[in-house]
Amino acid sequence: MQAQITSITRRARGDLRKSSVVTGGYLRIGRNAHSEILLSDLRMAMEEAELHIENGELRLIRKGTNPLTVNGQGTNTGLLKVGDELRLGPYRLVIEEPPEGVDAAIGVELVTPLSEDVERLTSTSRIGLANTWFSRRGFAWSLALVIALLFLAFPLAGHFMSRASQDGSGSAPAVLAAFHKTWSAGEVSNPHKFFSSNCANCHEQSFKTVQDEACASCHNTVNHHFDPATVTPAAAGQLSCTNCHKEHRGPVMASGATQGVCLDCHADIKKVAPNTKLANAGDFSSGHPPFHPIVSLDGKTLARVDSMDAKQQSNLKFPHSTHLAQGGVRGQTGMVKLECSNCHVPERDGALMKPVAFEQSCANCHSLAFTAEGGGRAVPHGNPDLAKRTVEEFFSKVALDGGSVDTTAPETIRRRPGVPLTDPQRLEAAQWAKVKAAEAMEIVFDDKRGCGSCHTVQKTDAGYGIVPVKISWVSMPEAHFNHAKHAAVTCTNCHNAPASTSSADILLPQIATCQNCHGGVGETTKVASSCMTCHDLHRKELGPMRPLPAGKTSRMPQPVAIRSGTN
Amino acid sequence: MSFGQRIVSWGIWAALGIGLVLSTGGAMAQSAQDGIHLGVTTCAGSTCHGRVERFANSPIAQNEYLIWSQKDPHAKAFKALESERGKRIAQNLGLPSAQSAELCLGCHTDNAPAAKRSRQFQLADGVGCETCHGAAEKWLGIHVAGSPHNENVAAGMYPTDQPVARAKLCLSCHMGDNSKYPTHQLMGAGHPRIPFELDTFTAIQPAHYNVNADYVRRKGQPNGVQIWAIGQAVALGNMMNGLLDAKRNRDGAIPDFVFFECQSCHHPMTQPRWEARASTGLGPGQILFNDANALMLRIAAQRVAPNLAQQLFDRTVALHQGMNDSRQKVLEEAAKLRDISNQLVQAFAERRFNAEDIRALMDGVIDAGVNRNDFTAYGGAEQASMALSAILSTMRNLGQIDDGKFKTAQAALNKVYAAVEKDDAFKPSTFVAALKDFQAAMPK
Repeated sequence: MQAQITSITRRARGDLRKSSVVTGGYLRIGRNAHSEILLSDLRMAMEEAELHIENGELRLIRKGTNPLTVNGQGTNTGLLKVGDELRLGPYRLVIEEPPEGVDAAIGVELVTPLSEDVERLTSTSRIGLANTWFSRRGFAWSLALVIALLFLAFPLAGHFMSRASQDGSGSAPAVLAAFHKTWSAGEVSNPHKFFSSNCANCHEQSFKTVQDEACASCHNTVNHHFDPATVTPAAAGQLSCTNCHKEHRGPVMASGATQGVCLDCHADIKKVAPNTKLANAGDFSSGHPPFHPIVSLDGKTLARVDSMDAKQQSNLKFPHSTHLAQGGVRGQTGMVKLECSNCHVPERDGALMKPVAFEQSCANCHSLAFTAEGGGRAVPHGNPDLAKRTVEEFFSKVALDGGSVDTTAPETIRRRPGVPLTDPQRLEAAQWAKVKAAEAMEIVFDDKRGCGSCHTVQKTDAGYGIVPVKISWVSMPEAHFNHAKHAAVTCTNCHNAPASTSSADILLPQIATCQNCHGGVGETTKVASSCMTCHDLHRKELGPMRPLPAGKTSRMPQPVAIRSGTN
Repeated sequence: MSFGQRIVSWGIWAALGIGLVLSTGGAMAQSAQDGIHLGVTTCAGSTCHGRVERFANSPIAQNEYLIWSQKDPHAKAFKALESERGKRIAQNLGLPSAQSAELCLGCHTDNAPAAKRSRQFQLADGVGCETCHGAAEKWLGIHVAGSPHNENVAAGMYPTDQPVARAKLCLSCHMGDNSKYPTHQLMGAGHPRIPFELDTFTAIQPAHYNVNADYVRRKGQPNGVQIWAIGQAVALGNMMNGLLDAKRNRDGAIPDFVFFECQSCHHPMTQPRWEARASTGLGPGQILFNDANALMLRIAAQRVAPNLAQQLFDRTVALHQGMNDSRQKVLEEAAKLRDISNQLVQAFAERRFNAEDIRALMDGVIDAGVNRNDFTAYGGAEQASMALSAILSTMRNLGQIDDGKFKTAQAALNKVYAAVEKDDAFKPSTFVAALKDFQAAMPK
């Protein structure tokens, strides 16, 4: 059936009627939300009554508990006609003449609103805050006073009391000190904890950020980033400790510098340092200049080169290709397949490689033996003068002892051991030892084997010498690189040593090699790398950034020397 | 300078120029087949052939480079060019320097063409590893990995263990071959004599290998007498090649004097020394080509191939005669002698020289000097001395003679050597007397 439901509100200036048409097999009346005739007053039951079409007439069936009357007569069911008036709790329902196309029309009016009842109830009770002696304003002021006392007055008192004391700590009552800490912005870093009980150690002036002087009162040896004389005065004052070093962020002091701090100057470096040789630098993915390693080009001095294609002169002969040959190298027990790590061992911190030591890495194959006599003897590595003495002393001893098995030696040398030498024999023995030592020195210092296998041998009237090896141990000192952190990468991914046939090759990687894995700061598919990934701000080669002013001593507490014994 | 001298001088220059061009071309043609010469440094490394003590499981001594560099004159061949004598020769020949002249470099170093020299290659290394063992580029890889000798040879290593190949290799400088050769002008400019005997020179080089069980297993037991005989046959054939070489011997009607016996002319005229010798058929004052190798070869051939020995004798005499007859005759007889030499090389290579053979050859050498008067010329006497040395050493190596007898024989051999120590003081009678003493010292 279809029915027109009209909500009626009585107004002084005329009734307000709002109609809607509902459809259903029958009409449900009640507070339930799905009721076609919704009576939302709280006093109504969920289901109060139903209207059905019965042979073209409306039948009312009572379902709820509220009293139901039709034209003043209480009823449970009955047929309705136009003009009938139903009363159901606070509501009045009127059966109206249905318009065209609608089976029924019902007017609904709330005649007894709830508010009137509630007003009657509340007017007789006193539960509002306004009705008590405790006003909202008074409470707010009280709380503000407490907060001001605990978190401002107490800390300030503690601050000034401790500052007033001589040693700067411990004189403030514990309660004041405790509330003092409520002003802490966060956990102090581990190295600073031991003096963190007194904020004034760093926060020298109240309500002012920590000044560089406070840091430098201990950190007076931290190196500068640039030579102040080389940059414009404006730029010289720009760097402050707190630009980068953020305290109160937990146990590890945060180096909070963003790349922007670097690029402020380095994006256009000439602007702040007009005479610099540095190239402009930007993001690692695109703005970084190529690497310019430091090597020796003349075998004597170190110099920066423009390209990895430059040929260095280290005064060493070492073809990596031969040593890393696929088939191995000939060793004591046959062919041995060498790995990079057979010679290159990292330092304990994993950053650089230890210098290759002859005794550990070379001697197994490259013997420094100078004679097979008496089970063989070798000269020590690294000291030509000692080598000469070793050789001379060895053959002198053989000559003095006798009993040599050298079939080319004269009878004097091959005599039964222990037979004393006559004077002429002594001269002969000395002469033989001299000749043998000279021969042995030729072998040891041969320019194709022995020393000459790796070194450039110099023969002068004074004897043999070795041209000192000239290797720049750190070829790119401005950047730090840690081999241990890259341990998962194969050596040859970065160092193309197997293809290098000469020690003149610079085997450092090009920047493109790094860029295979490392991208700039915003990189999402590579290791996002900022300036600080590789570069240090404080440069070892420069002087202190904030030296102690004359007459001042460092505030850094020194450990108390442990003394032995009693008084 | 007279006009005649000028003409001669121009002639010398022209001949030298042609020789240089051809010798360079020849060397290039030969080396083009080779790989790159990697240089002595490549071999001398302290893990390879430059060790004082060998690796525990190494079949070789590994001190080959040390022996070469310290004891082998080949290592000093290039430095000889820098000596006073070298400078003098270059100056006399009008060369800017001996160290840069192809004529000299051909034998005084490993004269690989520039394109075939590796970065480590150095001319100053003299006659180094690859001069004899061949350019290493093609075989060094397998050699380092331990490939057997025959595979190395197949890959291009020169088979120096084979006596015929070794003889050809050594003689290419120690006599000269058709690509590089000494001339009488070079000798005249001051170059010393170039004597050679394969087995003796192998020993005094000194050899940088040991004939031990491993050597015998890999390369066979070398027989010094066989090496000596092959050396003589290859030498004579090589000399005949020189006589037949169209680009040489253009200095006049007769072949280059370098093929002749030096002392037959170069001796003081106050000391007349000519004696008749059946093996030449020459009269006094006739020029004598250096038949020392032919004399030795005849002795070896008499034992191994008597019919070839007779042909050899006949053709040698005919060549001696031809030298005093016509160029045509020289070429004819040289070709015949070369053929006989080649047959003898084959015969010696196939022969297992046993104890009787060796003894017979020793007796043959003594007999030629004592009874046939073959060693009236210095060159023959010198070769006879080295032949006795090679034969005696072989006897000892094969256990044919005990220590005591060897020492006695060696002492007698030293006297034989003393008789040929100085070419200008050579007296045939002294030499024959020493030979007789040696004969007496040798047990029957």
